[in-house]
Amino acid sequence: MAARGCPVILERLSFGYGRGRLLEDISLSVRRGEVLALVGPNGSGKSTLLRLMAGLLQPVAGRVLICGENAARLSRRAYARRVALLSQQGGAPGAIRVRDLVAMGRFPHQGWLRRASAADRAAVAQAMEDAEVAALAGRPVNTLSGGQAQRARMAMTLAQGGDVLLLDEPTTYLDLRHQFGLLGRARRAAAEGRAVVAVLHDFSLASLYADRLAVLHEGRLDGIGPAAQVLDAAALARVFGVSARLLRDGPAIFPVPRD
Amino acid sequence: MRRVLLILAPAACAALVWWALGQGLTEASAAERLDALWPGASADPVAARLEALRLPRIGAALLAGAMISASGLLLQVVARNGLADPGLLGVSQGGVLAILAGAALFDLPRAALVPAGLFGAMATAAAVLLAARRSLAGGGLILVGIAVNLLLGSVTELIMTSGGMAQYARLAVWSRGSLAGVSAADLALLAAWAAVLLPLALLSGRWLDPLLLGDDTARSLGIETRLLLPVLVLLAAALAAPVVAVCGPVSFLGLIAGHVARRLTGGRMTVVLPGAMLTGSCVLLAADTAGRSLMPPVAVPAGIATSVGGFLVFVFAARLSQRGPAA
Amino acid sequence: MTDPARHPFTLALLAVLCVGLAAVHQSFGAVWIPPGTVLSALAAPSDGFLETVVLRQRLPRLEVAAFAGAALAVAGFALQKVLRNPLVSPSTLGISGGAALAVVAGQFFLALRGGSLLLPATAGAGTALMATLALSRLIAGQGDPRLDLVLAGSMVSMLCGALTTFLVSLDPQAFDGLMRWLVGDIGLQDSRALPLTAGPAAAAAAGLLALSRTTDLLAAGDDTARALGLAAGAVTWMTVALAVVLAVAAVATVGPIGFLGLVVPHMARLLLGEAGPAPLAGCLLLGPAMLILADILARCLMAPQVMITGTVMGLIGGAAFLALLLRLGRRGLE
Repeated sequence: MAARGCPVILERLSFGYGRGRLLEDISLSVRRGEVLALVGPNGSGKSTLLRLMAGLLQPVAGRVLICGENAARLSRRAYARRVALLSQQGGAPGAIRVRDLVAMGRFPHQGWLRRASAADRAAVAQAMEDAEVAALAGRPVNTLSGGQAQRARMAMTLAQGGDVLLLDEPTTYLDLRHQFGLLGRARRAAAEGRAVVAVLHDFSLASLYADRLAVLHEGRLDGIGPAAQVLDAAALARVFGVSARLLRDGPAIFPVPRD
Repeated sequence: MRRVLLILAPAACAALVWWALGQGLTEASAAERLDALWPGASADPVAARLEALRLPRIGAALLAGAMISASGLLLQVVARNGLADPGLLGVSQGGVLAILAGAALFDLPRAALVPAGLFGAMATAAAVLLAARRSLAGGGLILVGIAVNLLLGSVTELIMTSGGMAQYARLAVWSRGSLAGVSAADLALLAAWAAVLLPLALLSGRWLDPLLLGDDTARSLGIETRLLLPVLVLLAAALAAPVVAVCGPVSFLGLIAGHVARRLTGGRMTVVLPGAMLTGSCVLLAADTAGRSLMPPVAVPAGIATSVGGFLVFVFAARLSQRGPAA
Repeated sequence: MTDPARHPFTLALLAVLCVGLAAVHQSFGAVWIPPGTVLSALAAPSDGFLETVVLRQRLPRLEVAAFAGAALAVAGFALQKVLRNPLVSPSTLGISGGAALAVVAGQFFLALRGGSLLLPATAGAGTALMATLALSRLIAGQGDPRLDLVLAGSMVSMLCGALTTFLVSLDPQAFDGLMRWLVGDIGLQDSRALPLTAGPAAAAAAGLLALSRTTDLLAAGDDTARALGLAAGAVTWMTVALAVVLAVAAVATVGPIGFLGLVVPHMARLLLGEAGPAPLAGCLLLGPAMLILADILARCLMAPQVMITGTVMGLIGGAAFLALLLRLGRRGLE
């Protein structure tokens, strides 16, 4: 498992508060050019795992390697240059314009006396184009709809660049067109050589847009692999406690309740 | 609108200084005012009077307004809460209590009161920061601040009410802030602190915007919030402490200046922060000057005039920005 | 959550606590007066020294503390409930500040005294509340909507406080009695105010109790309440008006006492849940208990000197609040 090909490597990772364990003994790696979807029931530890990858939490055991370096030793800034996160946490930036919000993605690339370089400006413009918010550039963020704001935040995350793109439930608030648009954009980010990890709830989207699915169940990795391999009726029964069958259409998989 | 304001605000500030210099018991012609503003001692007796009495007060109003506003805005960003102001950290209450106790209980000489206030303010801020260190980004800072404020406020009340009504009234007015007794030495103290801290605050502006996006996002943008937040709180306390020590807590200004600036200039903190400083300077100077000159012989202390004036400015800014999206 | 079946029991306990504190309140102080003497003084008034102390000094203080504590707590609870905001109270909404300003202005400009100050106090409180609500609408849309109201309230309070201080400073001698009122001194209450304020306050509290089931529906949100056939606006306004009456009654009697109206409702909800008349009744008992306790301390801490009850309330409140926060902080709950 060459570190060069895998910007994110988790080695026997455990995490918890006090005695309890939210995540137990998780090992996986994410390759350049692939989209990995984290799926699992509520409370299975998906977002926690993503925050560990983002360096926002420190594991109690095991370690995270980012581009071959031990994450615990990276400075916040060095981390931010390698890993971008679209968080679920919606801050209240107030009346700030979309353009300024997206430009904040370039923060880790700028020095003490902020001067946006030509490269910064190009990255911001490209990210706004990609996330389909270019038309909203001059609007204050607090006048946007939920979906528009989510796309603006996605644009900021894209502008940040780096080797790893982490998305925590990125399709929240988005209508179907923009769900497809955002995940398509995530695929292209992978095609450009980044490693993409997304927490997703929707199996059909996960099976369509992700190369592999990591299924989490009660803090453990239940399975990891292409959707066709890890998603079957037995796994759904075991992990989600539902009796369902799977409809397939090309690569897409749709769970439907068995009656 | 943003650009217009950036030109208008300093111009308004300059006009206010001109006006403030002319207001008062001594009439002052334009030439005398210019003479007073000119660096170096003035030969003209009127200009010399202006230079000795009015200039320190005007300078102190400008600096104190800028410092207390910057302090308030920094705290609002750190606590991610529009209610935060230097009063909240206990800075004001701590300074007031130290000065009051120094004067009423320990009979300190006047010269020792300013350092005492400075010490009280910084010590309280440090204690609040320490107590709330685990939950700085959340509501922790605000809650601990409220509790400490309530406690110190009660002790202050005990001291204030220990004399008669006349003493209470005098202290109550002072405890809301006044620029009446400001001397050249006080101004020098303020200026020394401002010279170091205001540039630092302006430099910090670029870290403030990402902080507003939430702790996770700020950190994944490369900001070590665990280091930055305490530093910003200390900076805010240091900005407010000398103001409290020299002219009492200029209540209200730290709360509203940031709001007004945000309303008028829109989002980015690198713009809002200098905007808030200018707003604070202008409001405090205008309030102090109006307070001492509009209803002679009654002089309304700066703290009280600021509360009234600040309220009006705030409502005006809120109306203005509501009419159209800040353009 | 709390078990409704236990509510009568909890309420009975609170009532016992209240009576117990009242007994302590009468007996403790600069002089110890045995409970037996207190009772005999109440049963058969005579003009012995201890009897006079009870009847002329301690009993009025007790009445006033119980009355103001109950009024402020109930007003705070009602406001928190209908405005769906745990941070509002008569003091944080500017109601107390407005009433205090109006009282001072009424004394200063119109030379009003005693009961005639109730009218301007009510007007001032109402105006301040309206100003707070209007201002909060003006600043809406900057983030957490619950903070808009508190921010507006604190601005109005500060404005009223500044003006009050200014008026007082114009002629301190004229306001000699007022100083202790402004900081919440129970001992200095205008004995004519209580009989005047008690009637409206009791009516308002009864009204709020009667409305408590209806206001429960509001907690589900205005839209839901409307869907259930409730005139949400009318109920909200009626509740707010009754709360203002209560707050004014309390402020007119003892001056603005903060903290109580904010915190007691939270305690009542912890003990007795959110819904129905139970937590409101809890406020009716907890509010007096808190203020009576503060008054006991005010008279005993530095006896024979009597401290100001509002100040003591602030001291206790601040210390208790801080201790609670620090304990929560140690446990890592943020």
